Amino acid sequence: MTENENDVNLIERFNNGDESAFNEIAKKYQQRIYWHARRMTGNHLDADEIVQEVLLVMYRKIKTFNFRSSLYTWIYTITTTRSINFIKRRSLKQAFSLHDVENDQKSETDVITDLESKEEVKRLENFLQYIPAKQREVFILRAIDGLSYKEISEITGRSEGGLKSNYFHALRKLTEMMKNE
Amino acid sequence: MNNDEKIRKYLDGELTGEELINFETEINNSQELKNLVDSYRNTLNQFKKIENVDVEESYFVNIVPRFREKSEIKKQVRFKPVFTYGSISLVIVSVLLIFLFNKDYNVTNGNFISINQVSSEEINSYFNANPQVYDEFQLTRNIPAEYDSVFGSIVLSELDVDNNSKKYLLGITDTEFNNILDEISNVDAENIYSSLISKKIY
Repeated sequence: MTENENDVNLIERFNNGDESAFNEIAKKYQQRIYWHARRMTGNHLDADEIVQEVLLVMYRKIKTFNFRSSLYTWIYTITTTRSINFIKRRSLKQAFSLHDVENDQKSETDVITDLESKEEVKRLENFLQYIPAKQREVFILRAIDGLSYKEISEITGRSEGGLKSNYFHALRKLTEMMKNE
Repeated sequence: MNNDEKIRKYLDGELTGEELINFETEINNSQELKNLVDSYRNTLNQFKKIENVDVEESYFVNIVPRFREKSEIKKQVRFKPVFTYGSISLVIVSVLLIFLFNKDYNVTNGNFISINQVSSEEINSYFNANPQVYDEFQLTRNIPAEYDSVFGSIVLSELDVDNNSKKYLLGITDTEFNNILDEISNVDAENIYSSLISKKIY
């Protein structure tokens, strides 16, 4: 059974009332959701909040999934949209906030076990936060998740030409920042 | 094709055949271009390294149970907002209904009576049965003749006063009425008249 067939089977089971099928779908995609959200937001707590939001949306909307795209494209679409919305909300919050206590707490909380990896991830996540969210999104999907421009276009609804341009701008900015580190 | 586009295509593996050979020759002939391409490649490699990082096992194990727990709590509390919004809507509708009814009805002794339900015959029979109450002529006889019809109309037709107010108006004695009129100058009377005819009084 291919991955797609397996997804179709899980969705059909869930639509027929098998709640455990949703658990299987969630377990299958939770890491991809988490890591995308984490790279977009730059910290564990925000990513965790997005994961829970995405699962809730999936749970409510999976009955309307029409199999026009693959399930992972659909889940990525929800994840990217939720992440961008979350970042917008967070920026607004930060604009009106006088204290940075919450951010301090966020940077302290993490689930990465290896100390060296933790520092490296933090360093790179920090660089990512300095580029615009739309460029960051494309860069993560292309450079880290290894998706094709066609797949990214399906997920984001943007043209491949625009995505390529965004990707290269992001790469150039990140390279410059790393040089000046 | 500009240099940026060539570099992107090269890094994305989109250059093939002659284009690829030509660009690799360019890189080999230019140290600056080579350094630039290497720096981009280095950036990409660093980010590729964080693709798989070990995290606390319990975190991913608990994501779904936590989601299930949260969604159960949400189901339980979902009733509350519905109840709250329902109550607020009910109060708003009640207030609006009371307001609408109050506009058309006057309260007399706790009973609602529409002023439109009282016919002119009933009003006349009321005045005939109560001779001690001053009639329309008595109320307006001291007002200059040209204002008589206007005041009569305002007091008895245009003003939707309740019975208590009507009794008060009609209960003013000649002397009191004359005193009031004496104190009003012609200019004041004109002003009162002008403001009365331009005002819609409920």
